[in-house]
Amino acid sequence: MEVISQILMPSTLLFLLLGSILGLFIGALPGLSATMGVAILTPMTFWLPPEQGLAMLIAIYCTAIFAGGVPAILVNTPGTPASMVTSFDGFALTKQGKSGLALGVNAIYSGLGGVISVIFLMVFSQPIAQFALNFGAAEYFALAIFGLSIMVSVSGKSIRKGMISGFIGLLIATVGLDPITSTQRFTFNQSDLYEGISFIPIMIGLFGLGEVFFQFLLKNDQNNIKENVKERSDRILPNKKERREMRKPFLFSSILSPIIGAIPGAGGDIASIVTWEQSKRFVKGEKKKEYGKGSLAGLAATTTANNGVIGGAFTTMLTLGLPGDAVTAILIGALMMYGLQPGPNLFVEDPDIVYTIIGLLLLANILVIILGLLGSRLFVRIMMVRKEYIWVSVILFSVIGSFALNNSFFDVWIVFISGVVGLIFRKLDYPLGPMILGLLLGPMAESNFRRALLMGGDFSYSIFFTRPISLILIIIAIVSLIIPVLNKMNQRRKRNV
Amino acid sequence: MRITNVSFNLILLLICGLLYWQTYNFSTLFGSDGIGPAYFPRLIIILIMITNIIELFFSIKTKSSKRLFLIEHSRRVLELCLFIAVIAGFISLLGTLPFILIASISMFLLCMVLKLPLIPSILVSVGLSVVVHFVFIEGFNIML
Amino acid sequence: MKKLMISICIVAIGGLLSACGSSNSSEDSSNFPENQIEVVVPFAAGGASDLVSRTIATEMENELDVPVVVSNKTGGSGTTGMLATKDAKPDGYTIGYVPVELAMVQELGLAEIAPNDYQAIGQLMTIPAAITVSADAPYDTIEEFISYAEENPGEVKVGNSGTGSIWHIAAAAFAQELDLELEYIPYDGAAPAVTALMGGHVDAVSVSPSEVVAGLDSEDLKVLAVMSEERDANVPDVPTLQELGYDINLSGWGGFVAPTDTPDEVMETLQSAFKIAAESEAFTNLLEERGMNPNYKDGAEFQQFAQDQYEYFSELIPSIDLSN
Repeated sequence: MEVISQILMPSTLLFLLLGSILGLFIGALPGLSATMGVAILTPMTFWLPPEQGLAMLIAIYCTAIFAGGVPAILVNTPGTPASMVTSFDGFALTKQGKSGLALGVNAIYSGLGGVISVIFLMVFSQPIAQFALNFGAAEYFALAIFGLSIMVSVSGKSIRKGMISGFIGLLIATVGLDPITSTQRFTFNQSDLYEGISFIPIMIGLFGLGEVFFQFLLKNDQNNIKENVKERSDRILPNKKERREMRKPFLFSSILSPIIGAIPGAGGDIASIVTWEQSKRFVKGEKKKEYGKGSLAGLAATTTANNGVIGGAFTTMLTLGLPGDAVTAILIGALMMYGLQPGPNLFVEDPDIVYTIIGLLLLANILVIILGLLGSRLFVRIMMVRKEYIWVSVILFSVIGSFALNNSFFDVWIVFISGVVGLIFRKLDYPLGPMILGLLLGPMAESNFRRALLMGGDFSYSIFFTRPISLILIIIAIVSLIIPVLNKMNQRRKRNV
Repeated sequence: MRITNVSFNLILLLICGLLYWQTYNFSTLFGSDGIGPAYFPRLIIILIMITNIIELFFSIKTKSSKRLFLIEHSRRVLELCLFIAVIAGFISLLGTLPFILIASISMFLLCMVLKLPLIPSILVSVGLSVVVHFVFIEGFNIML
Repeated sequence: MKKLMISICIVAIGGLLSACGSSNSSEDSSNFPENQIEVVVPFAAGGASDLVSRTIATEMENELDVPVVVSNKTGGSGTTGMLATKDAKPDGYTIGYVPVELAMVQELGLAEIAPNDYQAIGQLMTIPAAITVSADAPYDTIEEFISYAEENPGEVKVGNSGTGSIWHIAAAAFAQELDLELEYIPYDGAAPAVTALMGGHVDAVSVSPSEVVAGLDSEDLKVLAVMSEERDANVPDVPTLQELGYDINLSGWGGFVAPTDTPDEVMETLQSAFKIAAESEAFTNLLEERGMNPNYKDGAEFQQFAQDQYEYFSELIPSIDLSN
């Protein structure tokens, strides 16, 4: 009871709101990630009492993850890595003139996904956290392969080109000190390259700058004159039919994503990739083909997933004292500054703070829905201004945002080069999705593959097939790798007949 | 389009070859872990080369009438080059001169390349630069 | 008309610049400090090094009456930030945080950096390496662990925070001293290694006690020995290896440095402000909450210590082999 009244204190609510608004900006600006926002604001919250400080940090976390989807939908530039997949369907919807609806879905399902994951946290925290500990190197490798298998289905027109793009991504990911022996690979003795080419600058460059350059070339094309301005609907809330379409993918995603979130080291980026692919099976017929081309079901699944992992990540943090993702790693530090040691003892020694955190998470996710829906109108309005002004802003924010990550000019040049590469790839019809997947999952696949071999002793490959979770994940990966190829061959055969 | 595709594939093959050769220069400090640091890069490079050769074969086979750029668009391509050059100039000047100055001027130049009206361009470029300055440099304490 | 608009704009931009632009630092070192001081931290915001530096910066700010701001220059396994400090203008307005890696990166082939490239301001803390195992492991003391490892050569898997990291080097030094054959499993940081230990994927970790506190509280883990000269505050009952007669002293540490050729009077000002900050309540509280051991050393002592460590690692690192 005391906890509830404490959370509902005006001062706490004020900091929650303040955090949400800050999170909205942090998430929506490419380059400023949720991790960075929480990291920078953590020291500033220490002069606040714990419930107010936590209110602000939790609100930033929840809102920034959601808000990362906004630029992904509107300008094809994911604000945070977790919203990478959001851009697949979200930007396609924008091109169809349904940006309002896409933003609405993003707000509603992000919030709902968050709320459900928190309920999940309350009910199953202990068993889930224990399950997540079973993930050893072999399982992480299988999870990465599982994620990589999605390359085929995001390849678009040509699987061949998708594969080339994906492999290039994997190759770029090997630059830097290798994860097992710390050997320099493709570094050419440049210290900027030791930690590899950062993922976020490449993402900003390929999607943000690359998209601007590409549209610049299209500007005078006759077939692009019929801009989507006219048919742009102001509708934000999905109607009954659309809600029915999204129901099953949403429920599936909201159950799967807290589990992924609970696995230490697997966050919103991986959850959104995995659920996007797997939720396809809940959609039938023609709607399945829409995936990646503006499917509401796909959008709902990914947006649910990126906030859905939050509950899982907190589960691991609160029950085991281990970080579930990068943001909770920082929050562990924040709790320690308040003299609280996350871990099983927290439930015994300070149950109030646990309930406060759960309550704040619920409120923050509800705020996501409210602010998100209110903000969606504003965002759509902003997008009505001439495209050229938006291009100029995207360029400026991309350049500064990427610098802000590490205070590094090298990263800015990476953005620039990736932008040009993004243009070339678009012009030549090479899909960018697989490349990003390769970049994101390559290091996870390689380091865990080699780590598993080290652990298995005598470098035996059987470790991947004798452990049940690993085996199941690998089987699903192979199946989801083969099915799209078979489908494509079937289609071709039918056409030929 | 065909020529571009083929030359893209050839360039990629060349880069792969160079990088493959590079993998023999990896030197480890702490000995090897069994499969070694060069295993994955080599595997990936070989995969790229295989898919690339297949793609090259298809690129040569298909006679697409689609062109990369229409002749009428060559002006547009020139403009894009100018646009990209301004951005490159902006990035290389970062950190040497006061941020608001270079950001405003570069953004203004970009607006000019885009043939936007003069006064709104000035307002947008100066306004944006000031906003970015306060949010990132003052607010987030980023050194520029 | 157009010309007029442009000139108005130029004037406006000029005005803004003079309002926002930073003035150049003065050359006179006797009035130091007159401007903002920048502390370069080679790791990302939010980590332990960052928090330590930010707290010290805040305390030094009170002392010096000028803003002391932290800038995170990450990358290159910490070398990017350390190089930035090394190459900064030696006027005292750019100083930096350096971790134990300062004494290691040259031998690891990452960058040409040695303690001689800096003038030490002072040391802040030490974070000892330790051997931590699962609570239900069949060994309760370090001796039992050692004999278990002797009986099962190459079978005991020790997780660390990355090959070439201080915790890997610590485990390797331990194995070398005791003539053990261990299997080192590198992870991407200490937290995943601890996670793997809790999940039973490795047999031990060689990270610091402060990084396993959660597991100690929940009685899932136990620390068998620490590798510092003195016992660790998190686990006061656990013996050090030196107490048991093994000559091993491996710890992470951190301190502040300035580029070489910084004027003496500037160094003195910085060192005295640093000393007050290092002994402030805010800082000692931070160390206590984060489970790190306060260990203040003044400039000269820290310089000597870093040099000793550098020589020690230069000998140790080449003799380590991952594959045994």
